[in-house]
Amino acid sequence: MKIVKSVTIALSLGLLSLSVSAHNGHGDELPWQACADAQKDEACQYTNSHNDRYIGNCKVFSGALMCVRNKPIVHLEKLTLFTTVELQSGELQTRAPSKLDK
Amino acid sequence: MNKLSIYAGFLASAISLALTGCSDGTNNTVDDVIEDVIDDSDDDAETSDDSILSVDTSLFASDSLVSVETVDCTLSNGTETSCYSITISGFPADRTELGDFCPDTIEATADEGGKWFDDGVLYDLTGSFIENLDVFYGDSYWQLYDEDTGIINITDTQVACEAAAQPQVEAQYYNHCVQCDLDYFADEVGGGVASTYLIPITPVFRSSAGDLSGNTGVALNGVNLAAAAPTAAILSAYTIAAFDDCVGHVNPVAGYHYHGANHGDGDCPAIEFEVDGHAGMIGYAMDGFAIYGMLDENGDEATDLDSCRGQTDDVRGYHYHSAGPGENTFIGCFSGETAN
Repeated sequence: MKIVKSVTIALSLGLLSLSVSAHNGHGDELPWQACADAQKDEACQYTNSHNDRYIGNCKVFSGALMCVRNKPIVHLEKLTLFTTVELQSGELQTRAPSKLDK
Repeated sequence: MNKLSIYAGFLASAISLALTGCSDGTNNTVDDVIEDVIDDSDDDAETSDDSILSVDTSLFASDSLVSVETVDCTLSNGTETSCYSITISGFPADRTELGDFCPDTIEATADEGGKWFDDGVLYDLTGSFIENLDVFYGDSYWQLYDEDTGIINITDTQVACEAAAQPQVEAQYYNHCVQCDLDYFADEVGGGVASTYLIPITPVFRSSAGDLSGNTGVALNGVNLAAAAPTAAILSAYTIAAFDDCVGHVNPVAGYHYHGANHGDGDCPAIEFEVDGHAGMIGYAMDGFAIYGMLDENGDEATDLDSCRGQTDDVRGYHYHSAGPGENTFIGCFSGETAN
């Protein structure tokens, strides 16, 4: 069956984030939670529902500590083997990128 | 198999692989990658006086400035020096109108709404995004629209704006998309809220980084670079303080101000890269060091930023790079003394 279109990993994770977000603690909490038990300038990191990891240090914002990234974002999904493709029938299928039809 | 189950399966695969390692024939694991990133750290970056460039007010858009004066000032370390007193118009010189902010209905597309950020990510504020806030935040109390008509609750009067665009949101404006017309507060119709910034002409490095409080800086187009938005207060009132594509919005105190840098996306004008491919300059921080965009012309981010998000090069001296548009900050701290 001819594959019509491949859906990028990023898009897949973007859609995914909406469907499972409740389990991932949305509420703009992660940058603050990452420093909840930390001291100012302590190293911190958090991973959001897009599977992106933010690495930095705890910095003071109006008296509270927030994790401020100073390293490039680590896109964890880049380490995965699979992507999601949409078949001509409209069905989605997960498979290895190397096997995508050109 | 339905889409949700496929996505859930995909997530499981992704997480499993991410946690267990090898994906491309190498033995890189997530922790290896992160370790590599951390190993690139350079918190001992050059911060000598040789790396200090004075503030250049000619870089501001002429339409953005009300006045620039040289005044005596005292820095946070007690040093007596000279500062620029820069008064900006408060309306972005590179635009003719603001918005869009809140979408009107749950059918609205990305072109018809602005932005919202969460956990480092900048989202299009589409009608669908508003419709699914209960799922997004995992709380069924979220309901920003009329179920019968699909029309979104928007603070569309000055009274509503002033009641909702503050940390203590009045209960009647819970479950509203908050937006304010700049004309409510502007010095003249079609203008902005003017404000003045006292910035040392020649930056002075601090012995230890300074905390961010109040304004972070001022953009070259005459817009305030604000401190982190109080997202906990905003969300606890079941409101979305909608941004436009430039991650800016209006409140009664600051007028139009930015909470992130998102140039070149949607309605937000791009900033040109430097001739050497370095990110373009956005504005000045309150300590007098320049703030540039996050990415260079190749889409890459510097790997040697200090914890304030600063670095030094031969062309620009010490300077900052803005964080991502969804990260609710521009920089992490002040490397230089600020004016009292």
